[in-house]
Amino acid sequence: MTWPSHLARNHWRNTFLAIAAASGFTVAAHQSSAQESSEMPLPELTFHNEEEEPAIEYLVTKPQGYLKLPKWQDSDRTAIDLGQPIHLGGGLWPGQESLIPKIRASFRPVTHETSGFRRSEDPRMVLPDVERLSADAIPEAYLPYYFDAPPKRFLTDVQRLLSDSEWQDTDWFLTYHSNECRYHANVLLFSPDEQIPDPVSGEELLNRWFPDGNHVLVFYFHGRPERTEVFFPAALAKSFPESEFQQNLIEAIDSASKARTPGMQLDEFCQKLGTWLLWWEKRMNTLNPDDALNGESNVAPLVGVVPAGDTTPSAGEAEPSTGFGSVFWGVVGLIGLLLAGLIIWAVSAAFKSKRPVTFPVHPPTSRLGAPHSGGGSVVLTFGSRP
Amino acid sequence: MKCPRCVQELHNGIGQCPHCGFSLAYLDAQFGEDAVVLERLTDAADCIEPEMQQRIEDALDQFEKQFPQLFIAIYAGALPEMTDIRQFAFWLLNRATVPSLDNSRPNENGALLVLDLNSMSVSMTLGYFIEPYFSDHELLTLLRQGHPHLQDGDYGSALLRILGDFSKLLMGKAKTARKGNRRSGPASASAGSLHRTSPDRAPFSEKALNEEAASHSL
Repeated sequence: MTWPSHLARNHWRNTFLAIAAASGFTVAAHQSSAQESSEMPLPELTFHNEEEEPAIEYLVTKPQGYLKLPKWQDSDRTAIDLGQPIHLGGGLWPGQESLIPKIRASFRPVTHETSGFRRSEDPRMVLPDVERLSADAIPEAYLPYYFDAPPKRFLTDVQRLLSDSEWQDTDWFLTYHSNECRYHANVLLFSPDEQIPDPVSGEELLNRWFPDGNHVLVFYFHGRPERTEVFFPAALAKSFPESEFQQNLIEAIDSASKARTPGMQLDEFCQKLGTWLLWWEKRMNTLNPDDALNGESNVAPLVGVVPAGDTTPSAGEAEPSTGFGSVFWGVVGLIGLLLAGLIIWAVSAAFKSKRPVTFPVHPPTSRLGAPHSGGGSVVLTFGSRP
Repeated sequence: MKCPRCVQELHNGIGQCPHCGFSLAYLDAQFGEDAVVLERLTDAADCIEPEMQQRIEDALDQFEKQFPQLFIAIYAGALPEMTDIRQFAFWLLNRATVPSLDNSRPNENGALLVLDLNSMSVSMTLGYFIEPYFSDHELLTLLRQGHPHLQDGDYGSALLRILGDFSKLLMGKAKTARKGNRRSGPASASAGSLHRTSPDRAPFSEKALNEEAASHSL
């Protein structure tokens, strides 16, 4: 690139050429003998691209290797058949990972790290089908998975009574609740009519599995929330009257009974139970702050057991009254009384307004020799005629 | 009360004004001492539309139904020059006979509204019966309610407005009077009368007036 020296004297011309030079063009100017003159005419400029590569061609040719459409692979079809996640976009963007494994990866560590409770890597155990001898007996093959060791997850569904999504939703909630509340709810899910074997005791299991006193054990029967049995730790059980536990459990069961499907019933029950556990925890912190800090507790006697068939109110039996219900009906009654009083007052006022009004009679005393009026009067002048 | 001519405070029971010597006889000499017939609504100046007259008549009916002891008479006219509306109203309420009223409503139980289109003024004059319940200030406030209509020349609307407000005011006065009568009892109430009314009560306040009305009630 050559620069005529005389351009330095001509400001606007110099600016124009500087812009042209910055754009990657070469400026060639014809030099003449009049270069030193300030009256020199504009130089003749020619422009050309040094790289000689049209931009449009660059855009078309360079990414050809990246624009190949994805193709389904046999491995993708196999993964779909197995319900396994595949790469979203079918490999349109190489190197991108599936979103589903990412969510799970972020989900599991939260469970492990924050709950302080050892979990299985595979939450849903796959057990072989067993022959069921009767509807009310838990198959022997399943008993060890229920009662031999502490549950791996907060929701133990050995018999796969819940669908994957139902199990995942409820287990996620219980795990979330365990992160929020000191008292963790552990739910063992059984078939509707199954009976807990005689040697098994909920108190004993709670003592053996969770000696820290921060766990609640629940025997939940799929589709029959009224059979639910709940075992509370001793520290919690001693702090409040048993009737309060019973009442709250009945409310939770009643709420669960209104759900449409057994899975939704379980989810509703767990949410109610979680709410009460949070509430009890707050009250415990108020009652005994030291205990709330160290979290120590020993044994856990059976406290909140809802016996089978005792919780669902019969048709003719009145439902247990709640504090909220009493307050609600009290407020409704008070508003009704106020409205009735207002109506009575309005009718009375309307009636009184139509009644004749009389004044006390008194003997008149005349003035100024006038028999009827003594001149009590006022005068108002209202100005000129409009 | 004040003298209709010199507007000085008066005691009860006096035959003539101690300041100017005014009495009803002075007006009798001017307007006549015979009784004159007065309708409840007399539109001598023909300044009220017939429809409005009918509305006023209906309002007067309602008033007499609500207050069986009282009545209101209205006179609208153009008084002769140099005629004082206050004195004319004083004379008219004392000398007029309203044929449509029965004996239970003597003139002392009445209120007279006079509208003088000559002097462009309106007056409210009360009989002895209801006079103790009102102060001059209250009556003037009452007339002011019709002032905008009067200025617009809508005399019928002005009279209707004044009638309505007067009824409301009387309702409150009657309630207060009955309460005072019950408090004081029949024995003490019988001792009270208008004889105790004196110029000393001016300036009027509603509270003082109510107390006085209560003490005067039988």
